Amino acid sequence: MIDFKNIHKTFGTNTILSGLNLSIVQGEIMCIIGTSGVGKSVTIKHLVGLIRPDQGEIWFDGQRIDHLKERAFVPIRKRIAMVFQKSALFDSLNALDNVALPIQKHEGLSLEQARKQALGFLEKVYMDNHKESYPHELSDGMQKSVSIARAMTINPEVMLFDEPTTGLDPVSARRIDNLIFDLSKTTKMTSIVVSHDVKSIMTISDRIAFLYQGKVYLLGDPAMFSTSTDPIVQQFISGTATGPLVTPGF
Amino acid sequence: MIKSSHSYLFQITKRMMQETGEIALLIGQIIRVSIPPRVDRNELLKHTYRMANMSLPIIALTAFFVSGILILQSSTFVKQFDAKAIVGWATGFSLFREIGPIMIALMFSGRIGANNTAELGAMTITNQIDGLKALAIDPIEYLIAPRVYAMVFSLFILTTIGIGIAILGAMLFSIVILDMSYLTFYRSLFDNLYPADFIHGLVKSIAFGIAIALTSCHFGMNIRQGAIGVGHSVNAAVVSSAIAIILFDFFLTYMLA
Repeated sequence: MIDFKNIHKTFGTNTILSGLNLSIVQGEIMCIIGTSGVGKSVTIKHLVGLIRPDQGEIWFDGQRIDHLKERAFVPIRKRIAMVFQKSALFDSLNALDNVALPIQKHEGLSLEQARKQALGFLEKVYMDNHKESYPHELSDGMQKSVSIARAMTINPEVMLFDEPTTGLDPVSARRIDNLIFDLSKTTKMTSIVVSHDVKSIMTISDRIAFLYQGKVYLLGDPAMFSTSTDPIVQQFISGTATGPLVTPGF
Repeated sequence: MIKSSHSYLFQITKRMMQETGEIALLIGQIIRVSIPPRVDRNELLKHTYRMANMSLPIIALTAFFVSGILILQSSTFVKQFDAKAIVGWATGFSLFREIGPIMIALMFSGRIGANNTAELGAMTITNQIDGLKALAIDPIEYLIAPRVYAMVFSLFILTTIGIGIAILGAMLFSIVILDMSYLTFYRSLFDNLYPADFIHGLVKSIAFGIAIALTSCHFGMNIRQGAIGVGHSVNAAVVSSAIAIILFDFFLTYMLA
């Protein structure tokens, strides 16, 4: 369904991706993991056209999308939704109106009609009791839930989650994991989850892509990942400071 | 030394050309969503109300006291030459054509333009604009065009109201300071001024509104360096708006003279 072919991306003198190849199958939960700064978020932002590759090709559902112009990306963005690391909710709107906004814009409904539909999406993420709250009145976990509800409104075929559990307490993190897993399996949508939370990815993923030095270093299911004898993979899983794993800045 | 100043000048010129080019692209994007109109109507009404409402007290206060300053500055000569017959005309002419539009535009730039840059800047660094794009919502259609139109319209309305308050203030100050009659001021004003003088000021207010709106939106959307960048961008937007207002004023005064 999604193919990254030989993707290269450099910011200034900092090379992030150097020949990344990755295929994602329809309906699976693919977790992209790796250390901070390895290019996980950069990889998924290519899919919604927020970042363009310097070299390589990106294919979505048989269509090459890496060279599309900004306006041509709009139909793709209606099929691929993204939940940002910092939620990216609009400060000036409450939870309900944040979710109602894309409904109103895409379906041409009045605000009242859009709010009715939005409430249904908030119920799915258990946030209907906080519909009147503004983003600054919500915890990080609640903001992420609202952000997921907002992304769901466009009824996407693919959902991108950028570090959905980062900064959350363990209980909220597991609840977000469950939410992602349930939504993905009940709606049969493809999910790509960027994370460095090993516990989270072991719980929800069908397959894991471990990014290292700008490429996919290891690709496989959670069992293969956890039983890998590769010292770099083992160091990432155990989270020890010493070992062969090279991280940016250290 | 000369080489480094040449290099500095080159960098400044390059930067200015780049900013001008980016603002030209922004104009193109705004025109694209305006024909046929796809500007978000709710946002347009919300921002017009908010911008006009936020600025009205400060603009009314400024306009009132600027008219007082005009009367105070001219009072010595008016008394010396007994030139009361031209006070209404002189005040009206300068307020309609020059001082009114330019003072109100500069106040508006500091109040609304700076606020707009900071707001858009904060939205940029917290990924809210990327969030809109990812939801297949055009930020120009939803965020930028409504603010640009709201600013131009608000400044036009505020200039009209501000000049009206300034004229009333000038009348009041001339009665109190120059011991003039209401009728002398009224006749001096309306017998010697034409609608063109008033329209001259309003045309300027539209041009100033466009300048403030474009610079504030451009610098807000193009923030780099996170929170520090917000400060830099607000600064750049206010300075650029002030320069644009003065330049537009010069060329419009020349063309409309």
